[in-house]
Amino acid sequence: MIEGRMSVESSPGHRFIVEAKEHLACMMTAVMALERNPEQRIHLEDLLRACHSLKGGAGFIGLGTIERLAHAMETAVERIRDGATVPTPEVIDRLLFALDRVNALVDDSGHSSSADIAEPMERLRPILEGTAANGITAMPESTQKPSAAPAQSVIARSVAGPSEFPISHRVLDSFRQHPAFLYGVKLDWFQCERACQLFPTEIARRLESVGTLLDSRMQLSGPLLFAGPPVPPLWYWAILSSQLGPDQFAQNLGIPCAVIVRLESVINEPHSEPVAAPTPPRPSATVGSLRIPVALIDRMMGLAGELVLIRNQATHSTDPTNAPARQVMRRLDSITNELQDAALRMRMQPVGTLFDRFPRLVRDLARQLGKQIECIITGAEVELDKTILEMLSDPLTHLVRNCCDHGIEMPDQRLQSGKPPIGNIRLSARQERGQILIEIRDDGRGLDREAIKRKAVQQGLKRSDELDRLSERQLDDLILLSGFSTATRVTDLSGRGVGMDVVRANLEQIGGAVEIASAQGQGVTFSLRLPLTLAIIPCLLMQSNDQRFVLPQRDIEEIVLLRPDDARLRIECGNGEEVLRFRGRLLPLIRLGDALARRQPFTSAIRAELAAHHHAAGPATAPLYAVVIRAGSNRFGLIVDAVLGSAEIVVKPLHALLRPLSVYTGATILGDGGVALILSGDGLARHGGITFGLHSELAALPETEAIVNQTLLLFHCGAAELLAIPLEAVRRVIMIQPHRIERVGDRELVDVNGTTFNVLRLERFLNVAACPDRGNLFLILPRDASASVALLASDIIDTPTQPVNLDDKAYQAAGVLGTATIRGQIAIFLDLARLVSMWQMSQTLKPKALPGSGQRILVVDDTAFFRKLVASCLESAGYEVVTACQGTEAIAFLKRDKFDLVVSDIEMPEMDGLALAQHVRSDVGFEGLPLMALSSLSSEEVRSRSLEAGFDTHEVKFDRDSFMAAVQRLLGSGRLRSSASGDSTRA
Amino acid sequence: MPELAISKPPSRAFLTFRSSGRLYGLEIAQVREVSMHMDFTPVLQAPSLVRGLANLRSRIYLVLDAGMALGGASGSCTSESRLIVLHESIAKNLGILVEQGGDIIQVPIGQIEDADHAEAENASTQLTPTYVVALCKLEGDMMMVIDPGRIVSALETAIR
Repeated sequence: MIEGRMSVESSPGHRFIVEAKEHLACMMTAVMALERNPEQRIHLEDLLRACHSLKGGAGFIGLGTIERLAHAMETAVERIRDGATVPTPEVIDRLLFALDRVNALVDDSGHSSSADIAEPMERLRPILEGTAANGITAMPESTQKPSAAPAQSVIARSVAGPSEFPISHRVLDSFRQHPAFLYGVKLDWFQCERACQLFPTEIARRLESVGTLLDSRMQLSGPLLFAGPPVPPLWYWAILSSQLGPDQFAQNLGIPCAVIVRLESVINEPHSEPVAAPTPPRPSATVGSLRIPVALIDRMMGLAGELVLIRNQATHSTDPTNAPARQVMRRLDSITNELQDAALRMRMQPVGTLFDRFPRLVRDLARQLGKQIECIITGAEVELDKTILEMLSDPLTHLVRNCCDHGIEMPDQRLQSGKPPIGNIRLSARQERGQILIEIRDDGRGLDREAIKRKAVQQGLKRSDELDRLSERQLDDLILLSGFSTATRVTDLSGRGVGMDVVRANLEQIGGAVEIASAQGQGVTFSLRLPLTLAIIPCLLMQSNDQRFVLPQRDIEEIVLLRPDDARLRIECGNGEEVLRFRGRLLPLIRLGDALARRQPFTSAIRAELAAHHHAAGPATAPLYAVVIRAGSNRFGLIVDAVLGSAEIVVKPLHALLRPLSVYTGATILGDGGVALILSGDGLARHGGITFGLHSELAALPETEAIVNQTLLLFHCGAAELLAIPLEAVRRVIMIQPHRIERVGDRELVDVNGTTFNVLRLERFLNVAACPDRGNLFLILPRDASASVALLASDIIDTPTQPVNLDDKAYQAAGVLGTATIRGQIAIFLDLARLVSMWQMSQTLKPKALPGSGQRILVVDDTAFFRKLVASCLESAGYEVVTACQGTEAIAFLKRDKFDLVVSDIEMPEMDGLALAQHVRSDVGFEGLPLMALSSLSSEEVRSRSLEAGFDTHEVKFDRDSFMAAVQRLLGSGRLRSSASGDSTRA
Repeated sequence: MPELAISKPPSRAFLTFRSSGRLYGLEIAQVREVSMHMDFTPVLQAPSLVRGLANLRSRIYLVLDAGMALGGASGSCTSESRLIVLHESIAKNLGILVEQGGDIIQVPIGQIEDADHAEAENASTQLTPTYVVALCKLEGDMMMVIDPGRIVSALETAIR
């Protein structure tokens, strides 16, 4: 099968192209290296060998033109090797020009024999004659004399201004080879000389300096030249390709009386006849590699996936007591995994195939801008999925151009600011935490934040008072906003209008992200984070009406568990639609079951009808999940029956006949062989008729969730997870050697300065990596000293103080408070006290009698972190806990349900604790309800104020023992009172 | 008598199946395989013609319901039900679920009558989409030859 497919691509012509491309890539690298290190002969040898092979190959299959040009190049390189010519930048320019031409000829090898190679031959001639070494800077012969060969055949003409610039095959080829700006320049030699004092040699020099002259033509208005000196006007048309943007081009050219026309649009017009064979995909750089159709690789991926399923089935049906069979299964298991891995790897290509083009781009740009820039590449061998690589091309080109244009200063400016005159642009790729990190770093002037501010105000993106509140980093990120395009920061890419926002959009499309770090006067670093592959993506597996669906994790912001109580409180009807109260905002809501039940997109009438229906049906009896989905810059909630977990899935395209169903983006085969549809966040939002604008006012409300600064202890326990504990909960941290841990029965003990501690290994209670028994280990001693238990950690990372936005829904487990993003990484927040009591339970050490017997406590706190901490503390003592964010919410809860105790913070938005207490005390129906103030403030004044407001007691946060004692005290007395009041209301 | 003279009359092969009791046939060249796979993932929002998605050897197939297409009701999956996978030339990754699978039969050309020709005169049938392209008179039965391409076009119209 492979041979069959390969033979199609194995004709001698095709083989030649593949080989020639490899030689050309090699030549390009060698020429660039030669310019940097003219002394190193090895580059010359490489270059000679490649020229020679190319010449031989072309000659063998009868491509005479390519052979002649390659021969001329070979001779030129020999002259350099023999010392007859010095590889000055001008000489390198000539070689590169010829190289580009060969490249174009190879791409269109069918027509190459009729192609015109006069110009590259002409450019190589000074090298061959040894005159280039004597410092010929321009090519007066070729530019000043009227172009001998006008366009052989005119294939594209525009209608308006550019019509005066017919574009030949030659120009087109060269342009396709090196996409850049294409300009037409029209001038009158006489006018230039008289009006602008610019003489032909100067004009020729300037034309040469701003770009590459691709074609030119001169027209005499008077009698022919041999009849006497020319009479004005003497028109001259030139077509140039340049890396310079329009403004810079005009500025650098500096010929006021010349007319400049942009010509890219002419080329991009569709042609009636095929002009040149489309550029074949660049072959892999390694000689001796096979070219395999992507379809075949995909098929192999599928088969490998199927093998995994069969392996799973086989594992189930194998008798676990049968040792030989188990061994076979283990082999099958490891080989299956390796096969799947290998199939994935086949889609990978080294980043180098993309990076290789940048030294050339940087060189051309630098020469045209009059700067000195070196492009340094590291990590070219890092591999990325082919599709991602292709999508990355435009954003990277834009960023590199950006660095050249705006980042690196002119040499004299650099010297003034104490930097070396040669600027650096470093491109690097590396793998990091299952992602690929690509960095583009320049050592230029850095982002001009004042200019960004001015522009943001000008464009109406931000008000100046908003800008003042932004951090430097947030300011830098503004350039990624759509609509932020400054003449000073952003240029078009080949007229296609790729701005920084498009860079970001392109990256997001492939599940990547871009970060900017800028230091004034030191440079900018753009960091691109990309997934390794698109073929396998992490997804959330969920269920609606007994059917499973998957949603890509990158679309998901959060998952909210709605217990029947929560659902009643959090799902509201506003404007005749259902909305979700979430972190103090109202999010539009869709129920997946509803959305998929109708083919017609929802109208507001349908939404209202559904809302009424669900409202009438009353709250669900089973818990629901609300998945918060990002759709562009908006968010909405999707209600599903269950979240089954996460899965890495292989994406299969949706069947062509089903494409009109925009709520799906594809399908996948799950681990058990079943098929699940992949949902589209955007599609669902559109189908569900969600109008984000309606809720924009609500969304603009300040978050009622307060995010407070906290000091954390960040540590690792084993390799993987980042763990965090609030520093307040920690007494001290001690470094120990593993051998000091002693085993006594089934316990592990460590002696620290005469005190013996039980070692608590986290992996025994949570699904986290095991702590290795080597190197230095750390013991984290909890503040609560009553238990002599210490948590074992493998690495202490830091103790940062920073805002923590705790998410208590995404990861729920006993002993875990929740998760939060710390420094771009998900950290698991541990509940140390809970873990200690879990350890005690497991050791049946003084099994704690649970004092709370199902009594209900309402905890009111605006900080998710404390809310969770207090709730967990109470729950582990056996109480039932409901939480509210602030006073008004608490009162709503109190009216619906009966509680035995309210524990409330004092400082809260909307309705604070004091107002809450006053409200409760003045309202009938709450008589005798015990109220406890729990605050971080402990002054006498605060204490007396809270008692005045109606609290029964005022406790201080973090003092767990006295808090728990107060809870028991209040419940002991409160129970009598509340049950009495219950009786009286019933009577 | 020379043996060559009794060569069989030209015939065409059909894969037969039954739906609501009636006998249908598919030209054998249009069929890739017949499978007993009966596990389908429903595609909500899709027209009723779509039975669901099936995983056959890690390829995902779209399965249409012959019962729905041919005017009857959606057939239940029984031990006699079959998934007829169509040839790639008709549609990629497409199968048809039939209530009751049948044999492959050879029908002499003479017994095959063009249905479009016959139906053209019958204006009443224009109201419902017809997938029947030919009729075959068999012993004691009538087989309707259907064109799966027309079912695909019907789906394309219905899903828009």
